[in-house]
Amino acid sequence: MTEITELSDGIRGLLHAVERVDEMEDSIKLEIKNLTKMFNDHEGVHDINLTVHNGELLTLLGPSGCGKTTILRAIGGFNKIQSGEIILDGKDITALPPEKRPTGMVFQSYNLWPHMTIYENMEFGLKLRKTGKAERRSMIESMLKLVRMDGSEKKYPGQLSGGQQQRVAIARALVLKPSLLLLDEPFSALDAKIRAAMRDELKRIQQEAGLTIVFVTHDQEEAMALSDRIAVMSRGIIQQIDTPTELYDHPQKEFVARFIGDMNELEGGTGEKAILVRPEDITLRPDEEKAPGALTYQGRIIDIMMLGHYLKVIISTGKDKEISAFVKREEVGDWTPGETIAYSWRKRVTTIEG
Amino acid sequence: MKRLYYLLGKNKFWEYILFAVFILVFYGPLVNMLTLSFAGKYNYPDVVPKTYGLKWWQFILSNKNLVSSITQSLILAIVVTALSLLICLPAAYAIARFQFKGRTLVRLSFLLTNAFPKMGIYTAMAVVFYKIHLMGTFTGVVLVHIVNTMMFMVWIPSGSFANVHIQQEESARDVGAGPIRTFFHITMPLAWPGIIVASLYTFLGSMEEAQGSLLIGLPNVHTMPSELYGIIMSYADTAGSVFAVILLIPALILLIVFRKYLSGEAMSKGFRM
Repeated sequence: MTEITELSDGIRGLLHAVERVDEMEDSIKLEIKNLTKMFNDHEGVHDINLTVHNGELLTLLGPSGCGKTTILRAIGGFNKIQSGEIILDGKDITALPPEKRPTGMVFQSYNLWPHMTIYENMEFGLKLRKTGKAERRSMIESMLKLVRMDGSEKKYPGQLSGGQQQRVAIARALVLKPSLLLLDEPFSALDAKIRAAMRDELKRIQQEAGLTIVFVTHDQEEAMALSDRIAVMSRGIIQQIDTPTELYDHPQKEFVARFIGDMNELEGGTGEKAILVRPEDITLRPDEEKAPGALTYQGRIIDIMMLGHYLKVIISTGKDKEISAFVKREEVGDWTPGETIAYSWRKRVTTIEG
Repeated sequence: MKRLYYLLGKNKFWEYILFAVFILVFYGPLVNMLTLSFAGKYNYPDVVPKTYGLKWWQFILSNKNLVSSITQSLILAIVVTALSLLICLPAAYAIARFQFKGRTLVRLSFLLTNAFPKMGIYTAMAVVFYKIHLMGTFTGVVLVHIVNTMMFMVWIPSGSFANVHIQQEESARDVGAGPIRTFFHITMPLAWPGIIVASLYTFLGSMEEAQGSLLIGLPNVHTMPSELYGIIMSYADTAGSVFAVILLIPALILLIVFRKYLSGEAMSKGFRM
């Protein structure tokens, strides 16, 4: 009897596993296969493969000119690609023009049409979809409420601040219930404080509306704060796709290690490559004591900056070379700039390839 | 005078004098024309007429040929403006948006029609028009007028189109509008100022164009300016004045109606290289 129960449990477990695999497959929202779009010999993206899951916020992150916007515009239909496939919700949309794609795009700026009121801006796409008047009104109102812009229906875009305009632009995209929301550096024209607030807001909207988002930015802090996964790009290829934590702790390539977060480069032993260490993994000791750790180095304090709970200590390690260390306030003695200090590392970052 | 000089101060005084001269030079002839058109009795070197009346207005308005030339000119101007918009706006848009080879050359080529002596171009056109039987036809005159206004009709709207942000067009495509709907609902309304200024210029230019209309249009097509030549030659100054005032009316109405679009900005954008 017990055997049978065990067996049925086993089968049930198996079924569960199968179901989970099914779910995983169902949960693919967007698939990009072998996408190539070159503007000339050295500008563009080459052989990009990318999968975005349902409900995910995936960020394309990289320095300007790395090709992140090219991929986003290809998904939106604004770039004719040379080869590859774009599959959204299981359908090949590669050949469709932007107006036929179920994607919604928000650009860095100049999204709204200045000759129309906010309401008319929102209404434009709904009218094209032959949505009834009463339904339009209720959809627009609830969407403006979602982005906390209710009451601005009669205003013109010129009467709103930059941040408000971007909210409306997001609402205008969302009111059409896009299958996938594409954001092209939507906050980078805003000032720092508003940018941070908009980030939180976007995260809230995404969770409330259950959105799948592809987000493009060059700001790694923004990417880390927002994303479920980040695709770090440089020179037209994706260097690594991972969660923010994985990227920070286990970057596979040196480019990623240096691009994500702050990174120090310490001299390795003879014949060894440079050692990459995060500022928080540096240990500082007064010069007389030997700092614990594998290798001990010496440097001169250039500056000590107060960052709340932590202090950021900048140390000169040689000619034109400096490192920074995050140290807890209680660990810092009465050090002053100019003083010589000993330091070592607790943990290093190792990349698979250079 | 001395009292006024010290009352206003030196600078202000000369400013007023300059202003008075300006008014006299620019508006004097206009006022003179207006008063002459309402003359009753008038002898030549007099500045103002002896008596006033609507005599000459009656004379002009009872002349069938002249009245029909007014309608002819209005119809012509409307057709020219509409056709010119139809031909030039796509060209203007292409120059503003697409980076094709020889773009600057295409743009500059529109200057050619305005760079050569008009009469030369008209004569050359006349030779061609004879062969294809366009002499003395309405179509022929329309073509002459369009050649004249093409440069403005391409350059000014092109400057306005270039000022419409590409994201605004792309957003429209994104929410589901095709290229044509995007142009008419987004791009064109945003470029209105330039398009209106250019259309005004074309309309008024067509209303007052005389040389080409005379050469190509006569003897069948009589426009107001070409009739004006005849009036000035064969009647008293006062008749000419009346006709000139009539010619002025559409210009005044258009300028008043569209005055909020008439900024130097729209113009200057079109001429930026």
